[in-house]
Amino acid sequence: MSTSYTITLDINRYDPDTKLSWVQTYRVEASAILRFVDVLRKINDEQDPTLAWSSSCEHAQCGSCGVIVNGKPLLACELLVKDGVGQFKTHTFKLKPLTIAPVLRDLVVDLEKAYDRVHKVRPWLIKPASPHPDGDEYRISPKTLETYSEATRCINCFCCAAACISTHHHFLGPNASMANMVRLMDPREMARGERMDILYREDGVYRCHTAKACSFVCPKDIDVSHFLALGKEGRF
Amino acid sequence: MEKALKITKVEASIISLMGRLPILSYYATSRGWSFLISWGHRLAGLTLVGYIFAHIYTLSLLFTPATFDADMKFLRTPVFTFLEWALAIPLIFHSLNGGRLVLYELFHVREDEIVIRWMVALGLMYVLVVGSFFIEESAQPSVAPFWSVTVAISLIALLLVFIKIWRTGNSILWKLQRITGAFMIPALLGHMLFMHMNYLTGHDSKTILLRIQNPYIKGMDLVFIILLLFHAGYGIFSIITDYISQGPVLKSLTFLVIAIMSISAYFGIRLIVAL
Amino acid sequence: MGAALTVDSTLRCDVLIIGAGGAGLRAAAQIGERRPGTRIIALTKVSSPQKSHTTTAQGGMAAVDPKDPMDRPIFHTFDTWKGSDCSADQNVIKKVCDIGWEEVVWLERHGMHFSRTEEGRIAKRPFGGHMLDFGERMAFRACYEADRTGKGIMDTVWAESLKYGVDFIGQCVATELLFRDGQCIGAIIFRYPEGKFLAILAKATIIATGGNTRMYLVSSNCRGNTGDALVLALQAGLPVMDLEAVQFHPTGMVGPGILASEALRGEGAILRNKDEEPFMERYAPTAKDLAPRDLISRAIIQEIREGRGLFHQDHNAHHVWLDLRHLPKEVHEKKIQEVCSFFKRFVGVDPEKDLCPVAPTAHYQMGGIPTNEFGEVQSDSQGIVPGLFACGEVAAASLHGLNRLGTNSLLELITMGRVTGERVVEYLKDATDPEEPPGSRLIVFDQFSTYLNAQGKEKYAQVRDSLRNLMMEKVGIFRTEKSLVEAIEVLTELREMATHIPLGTTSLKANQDLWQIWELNNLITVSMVIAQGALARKESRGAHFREDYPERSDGFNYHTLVYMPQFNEVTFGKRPIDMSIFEAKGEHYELFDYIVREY
Ligand SMILES: Cc1cc2nc3c(=O)[nH]c(=O)nc-3n(C[C@H](O)[C@H](O)[C@H](O)COP(=O)(O)OP(=O)(O)OC[C@H]3O[C@@H](n4cnc5c(N)ncnc54)[C@H](O)[C@@H]3O)c2cc1C
Ligand code: HEM
Ligand code: HEM
Ligand code: SF4
Ligand code: F3S
Ligand code: FES
Repeated sequence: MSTSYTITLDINRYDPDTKLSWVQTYRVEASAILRFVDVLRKINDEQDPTLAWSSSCEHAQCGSCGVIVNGKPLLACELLVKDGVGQFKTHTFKLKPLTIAPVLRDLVVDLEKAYDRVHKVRPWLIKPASPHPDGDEYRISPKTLETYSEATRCINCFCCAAACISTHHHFLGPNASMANMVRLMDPREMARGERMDILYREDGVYRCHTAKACSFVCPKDIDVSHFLALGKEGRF
Repeated sequence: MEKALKITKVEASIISLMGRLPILSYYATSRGWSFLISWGHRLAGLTLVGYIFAHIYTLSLLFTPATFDADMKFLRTPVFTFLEWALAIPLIFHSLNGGRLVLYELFHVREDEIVIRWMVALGLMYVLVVGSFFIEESAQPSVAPFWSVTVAISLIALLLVFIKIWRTGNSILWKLQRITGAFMIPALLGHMLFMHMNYLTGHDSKTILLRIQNPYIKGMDLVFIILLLFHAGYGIFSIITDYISQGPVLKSLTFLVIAIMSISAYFGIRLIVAL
Repeated sequence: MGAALTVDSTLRCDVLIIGAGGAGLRAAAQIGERRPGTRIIALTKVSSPQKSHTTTAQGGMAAVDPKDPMDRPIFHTFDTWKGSDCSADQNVIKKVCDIGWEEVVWLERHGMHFSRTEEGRIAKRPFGGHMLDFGERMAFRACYEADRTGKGIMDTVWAESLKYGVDFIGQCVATELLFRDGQCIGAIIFRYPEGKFLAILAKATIIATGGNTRMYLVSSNCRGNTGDALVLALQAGLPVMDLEAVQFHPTGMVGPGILASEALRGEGAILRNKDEEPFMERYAPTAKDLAPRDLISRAIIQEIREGRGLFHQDHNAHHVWLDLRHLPKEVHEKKIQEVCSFFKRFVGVDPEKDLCPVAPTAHYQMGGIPTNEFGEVQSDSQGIVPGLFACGEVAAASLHGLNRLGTNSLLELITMGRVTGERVVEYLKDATDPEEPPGSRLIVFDQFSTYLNAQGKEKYAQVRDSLRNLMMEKVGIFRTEKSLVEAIEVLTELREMATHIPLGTTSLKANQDLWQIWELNNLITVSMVIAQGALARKESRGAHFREDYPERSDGFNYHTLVYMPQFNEVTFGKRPIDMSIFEAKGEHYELFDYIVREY
């Protein structure tokens, strides 16, 4: 077997029945290659079946498992124990739910509510360009696609929104704003006026102060702030 | 993705040193340095807002030059001198970082690390130069060339940003904040330098009153105070909007900010015009 | 647990979609497009449809571009038939292969960000088992969006359904189907956040809950792929079909089994054994590393069994190598960026410089709820259940028979989703709002009461792990009569144990423990059907391999139907394989007979 660590997790807990919040400490003997979701599962299995957390794909592709570890919003399914120890230089981890929506229980937040902001930017093609004369696909050069394909990789994990200096009270958030940018840059979108209105809403791009925490925490390594800046610059 | 930048040994050791400070290290690992810089920008901006209120107050004492001089004498203790010098830090930081933000957001300059390196270098130089004036206090600025050059550069900066962003769909107020910011980089940095080249230029009522009779200086100061108060007002409004969602509370606070800024503008303008 | 369980409220709609994944939402978009104003409710276990498992699909979606001078739909049809080991239904294959390209264009027109060629057209890559001229040469047929094709599809159909005003209910499970006079009239659902039951009455119900391979120790499937809907169908007395056909993907990342897409091999990656020999050349001389998945998975296990595999210390597992080192940097950075990052993050190897450790991972359920070629659910080999439809991975139409070709699943979601949506629009023409169901006691209340009152010493983790080890060892890639009989015995015990696990808390709100135990019971039920089906099918065909019957046998030229209204009370049925292409005696019809399958 590989090396293992004795790690301490201080987890923010919340009970929706009693509405009590508290911090609970767990000590876990964890092999270095376990993901944090595995560690949470281990706590469920061996110590406390009531601890609630969230995940689905468990390989960083769906964005269900965002949590705040030692202040950093990240995907619990992609952080290996050894990387956690390396990155934060500690064996003690403070786990908190993402701050972007109400907490349902412990580490589980109501992402459904957070998604409202993504819905607001209407992520579909509002007014598609007329089809290619041959009746098949619209032609897009790889060069054009490349200017925005990075942004299409966003999985709406909301880590960026949780890290942003602008709170979520009055901001569409980095990811939702970026989803709007994608369509502004997509040559197939003809509803440019409407897209610009979304971009320049009061809760739109002005709420971004280029703090770049979004780019810093994004588990998909998307340079989110770059796309928001393109919006301000009007380059799309 | 940003282009990789070779960090020099000196820089690396500065970063690692800063990375050991308690709060800084927490946010540096969890949100990144840019996040900290943004907080710095915000705090520096607020400090300057605080200063400008005090500034207008002390300047208004010029109506009775004796009180002004008395006040200045009182302020001339080591502690206040140090504070006056220290003001250069938030000033240069907010100015240069504001410049960086304008470059990043509007001029597509993504080589942020290089810009930050310049920011730090120029900032240090500025603070040291201002500091040296505090010690020397003997430079004799020739007013006309100094201000014509400074005003010219300020106007060029204003114009460059104006041309670049005026046609974008951003809200006018937001655009004006960037434009006023650009104008103030040379203007404000020049102001602070100028006021300290010689102790008398900035602190002696006679010298000041004499200078202020000059219509060009009057005009320049008028433009300056208006742009600055707008910039600061919008800045505070912007911070408030981050925390308070649309509704009556936000409306009242916005009104309050406008009121305070207008009153300050009134006193500031009256002062320049009447003196 | 004091208070009795009750249904909190009742919602009404025209169409209830259980499972807002790629298939369910393609159907929703079709209904929205064709019948504006239809009230649609779509359910998902996750917090947003965008997080459905379709989003993790990587490699591509097969379709024959009519402008391609070399490729023809008939080749694709043939490949699918051959790939299925002559056990898919030809009417379905033909339909799906013929409209595949239309669907690619539909996706593109609705905003999917396909990768492009220099001319700006949709790019295509080769994939296992997809060939030109009836198996002669590699075909470039898989349309893709880098290595996140599923995400592209999911984002597109999700956004389209949003546009049509579909009401999403997330973080819920459908726990029981509702019937009145043999007609499906909706379902009971349980909401995780509030812990409440709701009844949803609908004129038409579409089941599209996706895959179910979480009962295997190593699996590429998401946490929620627990076969819930199969159990709902079984409980309602409906059959499920061909569940013994579980696909093991040859290249799961060693350890958790995260998928390393076939697209890697499509782009030129090579499997190697301990001696770095490209061993697939021995097993499939023509197709090599792009042979169908069942063949490669068995070949890998064979290599490992014969001592030419390797052992991974950290993960305590056997594996072989996947070699990506020779691929151009450009490919690494643009075409397979996602998967390469997975290798770096989860396994700690850099595919540009290192060999990557891979081993087979349970991946796909070919079988499912039997439907006809229109997505209507069947009550036996002939009859259909009014008001009930199914599409996507959970359904078996059957496009894949006992083995699926890579990229054919995404194709199926989108084509069969559309076909099903179309059929639902037809059905709605004379459908009326259903009356309340007769007030019999709900099965789910009995189940939940059992879980909430359980007082045993059993542990959830222990039952779960036993199940996953058992299925991997005894009902995995290789099966024998002995292993299957043993498995069935143990499954009966596990089922008993699973009902005695005491809960950590009996609150109904966001009770993860309760939810997981319900899922575990579903997994055990589905595992039982898999084992029973595998035991009954005394032959080897496609993904189902019996070491004691290693050859395909014409005696089993049919689909297995299994009824299991009560646990382990199994009755079998048969559904004939559709041979309409063969019977039509058109061009090349002879290739659609029960042909020998070689690559
Ligand atoms: C890692 C991976 C890679 C793949 N790559 C490819 C590929 O390259 N090409 C290809 O063709 N195929 C691929 N596949 C297969 C393909 O992705 C799946 O078969 C397909 O996505 C299934 O889609 P679906 O719409 O049927 O189900 P899903 O997308 O899984 O959606 C099911 C939905 O049902 C919901 N649900 C489930 N149970 C319930 C319940 N009880 N109540 C309410 N809602 C419920 C879920 O929450 C989800 O929203 C891949 C699969 C995996 C796992
Ligand atoms: C000297 C040149 C200056 C430049 C280039 C400049 C630039 C900027 C910029 C670009 C912003 C926007 C930050 C953002 O919201 O994204 C900003 C904000 C702000 N500025 Fe300035 N500024 C300058 C001077 C001043 C002065 C003199 C004051 C105060 C008197 C001031 C007060 C503020 C305040 C309060 C904010 C809001 C901070 C925030 O939103 O976090 N600025 N400045
Ligand atoms: C500490 C060093 C400073 C000194 C000694 C100083 C001194 C003065 C003096 C003497 C004037 C009178 C007008 C003139 O002579 O031109 C003045 C005006 C002004 N100063 Fe400063 N200043 C300092 C720093 C600042 C800073 C940091 C700001 C910005 C935040 C600022 C903003 C202004 C403005 C806006 C005016 C015009 C006032 C008006 O129109 O009423 N000053 N300053
Ligand atoms: S931009 Fe990155 S951090 Fe933000 S939601 Fe998308 S994937 Fe997550
Ligand atoms: S962190 Fe926030 S402030 Fe802007 S650059 Fe990113 S959205
Ligand atoms: S569980 Fe899907 S991203 Fe972590």
